[in-house]
Amino acid sequence: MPNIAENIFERLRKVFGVDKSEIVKILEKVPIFSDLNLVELNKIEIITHEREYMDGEQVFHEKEPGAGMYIIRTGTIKLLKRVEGKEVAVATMKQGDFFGEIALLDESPRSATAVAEGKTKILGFYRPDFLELLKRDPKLGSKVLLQLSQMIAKRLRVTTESNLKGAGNGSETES
Amino acid sequence: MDLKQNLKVWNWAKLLGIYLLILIALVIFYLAQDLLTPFLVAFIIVYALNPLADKIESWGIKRTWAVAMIFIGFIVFAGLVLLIGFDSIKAEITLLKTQVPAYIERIKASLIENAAMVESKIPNMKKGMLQNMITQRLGDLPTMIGEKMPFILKTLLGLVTSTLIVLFLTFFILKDGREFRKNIIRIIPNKYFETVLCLLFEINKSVGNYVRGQLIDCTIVAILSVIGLSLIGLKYALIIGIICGITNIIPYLGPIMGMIPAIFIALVEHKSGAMAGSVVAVMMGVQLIDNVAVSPIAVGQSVDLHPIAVILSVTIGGALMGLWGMLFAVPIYCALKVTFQILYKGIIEYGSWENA
Repeated sequence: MPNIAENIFERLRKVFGVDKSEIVKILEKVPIFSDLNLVELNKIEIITHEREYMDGEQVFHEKEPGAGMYIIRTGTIKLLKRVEGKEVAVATMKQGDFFGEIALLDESPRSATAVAEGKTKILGFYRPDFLELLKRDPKLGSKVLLQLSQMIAKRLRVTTESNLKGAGNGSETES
Repeated sequence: MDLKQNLKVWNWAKLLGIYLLILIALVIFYLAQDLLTPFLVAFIIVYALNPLADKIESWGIKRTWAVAMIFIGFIVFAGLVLLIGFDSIKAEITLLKTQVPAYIERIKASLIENAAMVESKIPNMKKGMLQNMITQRLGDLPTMIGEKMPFILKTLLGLVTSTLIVLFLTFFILKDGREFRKNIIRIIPNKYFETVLCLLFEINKSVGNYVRGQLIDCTIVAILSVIGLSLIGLKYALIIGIICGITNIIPYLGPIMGMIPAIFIALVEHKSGAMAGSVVAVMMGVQLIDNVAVSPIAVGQSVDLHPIAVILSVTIGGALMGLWGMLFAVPIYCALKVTFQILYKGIIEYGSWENA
């Protein structure tokens, strides 16, 4: 009996398109999508772009206008910042991490350069698609927007604190 | 270092491939203009209906159902229009059809009359030469139309099939357009991806605004023309008003093109210069209302276009591809302008193409 019920349930899920794909599994771990249900996550998946980078390839360059955020599927991304003419590694991102989310809000210049380390697959979620989503599906869009602003507020607090605590503590590397 | 070099070569190869694809697409487009017309018409309809589909989707209805709803609504609406308006339009068309040979006869008579006058005034001219020329040239016209009848029927049949193709294309582009776009831009190299994505978005926005604004504008001009022409009592006001609305799509030159059949009817059917004068007055009034009140609201929000640039692009489009060229000149100009604006901004403000 439970088998039949499960079968029907699975079929229904397929009919209504609420089957978890690999991308949805990554998306649901990202804080700005944490509030969304499966149907909504599927809608987000449709508007994300799958990109592949080779070792050493730049995702974006510091001071260039930003177009959106990225979520790492596999591989590693290094964030570099130019300080007094030297490229300083700010952070290293692994699977499930995300970066560049401020670019979802406006076209401000990127605050760091992102470079792939080894073959890296990332998901791009871009501002034009996000703005379109806000217009097309305001409920879903504002959910994401709220999470995004809360997360940026939290991040800002953390960054400010860490800046106050340990300025110049980062390991310096030249590239 | 070697890896980086490889990457560069790979990116360049990809970019070159894209340029080649665009070039091939343009060549195909140029060679098969007639074939691609349904595509272009479908794109226009998609641009017009997309906001509506988005709106229905925002109520929580799936895209497919949203598009299906629009189509059902459209078919019902078209059916109602045909039901109500068909009789009067059909009456006007049949009247026109029976009247056309009479018009030709009348034009011929007046031409021959004038020719006789011209001949008598010019010395050394053989009597009846001009007259013979006119009767020879114009005499075949009614029979020519009769001979062309199968051809006209074939065109009509073609019209039905192209309408079906357009509806088909519109449905699927409206339903799956986003996925199409996503799959197409997938091939863009990483280095240019963000720029191209933003660019496509801006182009889509400005061309969409232009097309939607122009469609609204044309509808209002058609309605105003029909009202104005009926008020002065011009025959076939309905058809001619609709023609005026359609020609209004072409900026600046369109209104003049639309005026020609109206003046023709006024001169031939009503045989009065006064009627032609009032036709011109009505058309100018419609254009005045359009330019002062309608156009700034409907089209004004799209890209800021200078009249000289618009006329130039329309002329170039007309020279290259005729009527369709004139129609699509401004949207293409829009897209090019947005492209250059964004690239220029990128170079000036960020220098992204040098240090990337």
